[in-house]
Amino acid sequence: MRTELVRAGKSVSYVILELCSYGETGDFQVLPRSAVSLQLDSILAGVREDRHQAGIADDVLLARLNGTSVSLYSDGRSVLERVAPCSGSAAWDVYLYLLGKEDGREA
Amino acid sequence: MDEMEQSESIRRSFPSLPVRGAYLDSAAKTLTCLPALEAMSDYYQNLDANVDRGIYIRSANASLALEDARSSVASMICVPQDQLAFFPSTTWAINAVANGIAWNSGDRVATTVIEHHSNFLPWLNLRNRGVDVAVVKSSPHGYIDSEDLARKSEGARLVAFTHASNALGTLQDIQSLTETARERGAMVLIDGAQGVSHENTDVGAVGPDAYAFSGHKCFGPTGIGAMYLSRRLLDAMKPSILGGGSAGDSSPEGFTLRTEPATAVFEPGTPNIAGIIGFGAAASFRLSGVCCDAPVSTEALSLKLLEGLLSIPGVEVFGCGDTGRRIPVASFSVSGYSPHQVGMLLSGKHEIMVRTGHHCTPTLWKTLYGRTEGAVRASLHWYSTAKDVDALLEAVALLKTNR
Repeated sequence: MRTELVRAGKSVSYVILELCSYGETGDFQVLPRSAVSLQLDSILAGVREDRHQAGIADDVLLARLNGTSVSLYSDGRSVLERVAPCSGSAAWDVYLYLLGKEDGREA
Repeated sequence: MDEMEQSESIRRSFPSLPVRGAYLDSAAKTLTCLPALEAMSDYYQNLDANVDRGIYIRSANASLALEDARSSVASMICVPQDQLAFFPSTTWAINAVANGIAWNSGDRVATTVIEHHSNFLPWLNLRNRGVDVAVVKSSPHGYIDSEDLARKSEGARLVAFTHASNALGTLQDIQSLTETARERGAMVLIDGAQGVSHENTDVGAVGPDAYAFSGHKCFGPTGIGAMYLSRRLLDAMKPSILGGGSAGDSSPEGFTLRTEPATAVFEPGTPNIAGIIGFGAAASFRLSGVCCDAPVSTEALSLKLLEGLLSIPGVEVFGCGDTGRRIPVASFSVSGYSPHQVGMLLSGKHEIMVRTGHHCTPTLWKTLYGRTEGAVRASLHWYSTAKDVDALLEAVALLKTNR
């Protein structure tokens, strides 16, 4: 699945690949097509405010959002495990949630 | 740019163009364009990783390159990329449809008398499953009979026909034929192997349920093809080959099929990654308009070829007695020689490369011309020159003189 996102006046296209499927849930990888630089500290703070478990290790944000495990790199790549329902659009919603935390901090 | 500079420009794009003789077998395989060769080499030299489930940048880049290629190939025929699946060839793609639909005894399918075996045998084979397979007639010169197609589309679940005849070069009115079949409720599959190579086709606007084609007919590598699939056909089909990437879930009790993207179940196992990337580069090349650099248009060359052959005594040209549109393919016979003999003589003495035989369309030859041995086929493309055509005409004329 491909999608476009405009942030800070810049349009970036993303590819969402299904890695593994378990029926009701699935693992996905989100790949930005051009360079993205994320402030992981801002996202971490926002995620924690929502009372999710999260931390940063080796420059990777690791979080647990309900049943979904998140690994987010500052270059925008992300692995989202056990996304429910098992669909690219559900994975994209999780990803948008994370980006929204950075946007909220920036605002 | 003068003619010599234009020729050199084209030649640089096709490094395998023969230095001597003439390559006139593009309907079997177009020469591979340099961008496709470079893209495949780049994949093996710099990425060389499997796609999809590698959680490392190299694999991610391979996945992105594959999806970019899908986008390029889909753009070439103006269809959404999420409705384009890759198959090893046009043949495999058509078989995936024929074997993927749950046919009921008494269902009807129609194909045509001019089809390549790839779009003929998979349908005839359905008779073993109780399907009524009708064969649509063509005009004496190889254009599908639209009235017969309308009759045989009545009550049909699927109608399959070619975009252009590989044997005769006749280009079919796929828009009208598609409308005719769809108005009667049939799904439509088009074999685009020959047509896509020469025609800029907006498949989305034509509106078939499937359009299958191959990389090696449009400057890409062999071993890779693609097929556009409509939503309703995707809903009606099940994969006949299963493996990695097919399942939504599995257990000892059974499995569910993956549902997203809808085409994924038709691409089980590790794909032909380099082939797909090369196909994508060839599609971009095809879309780049590089044909404008051709010293003479293939249409003009085709006309020169046909007129030249028709002017040689003892030469019979097939499929050109009508005013319909054509791709640059000329099939002919030379009296006193079998097609294979002509091919051997052209190859040995003159290094002219043509294809001979029935071109996987024995039904066409028997039905339209009462022939079993087929013909000699010369086919052109962007890199073909007037010199190539002259060489063939002179060599054929010489055959007649020497007989």
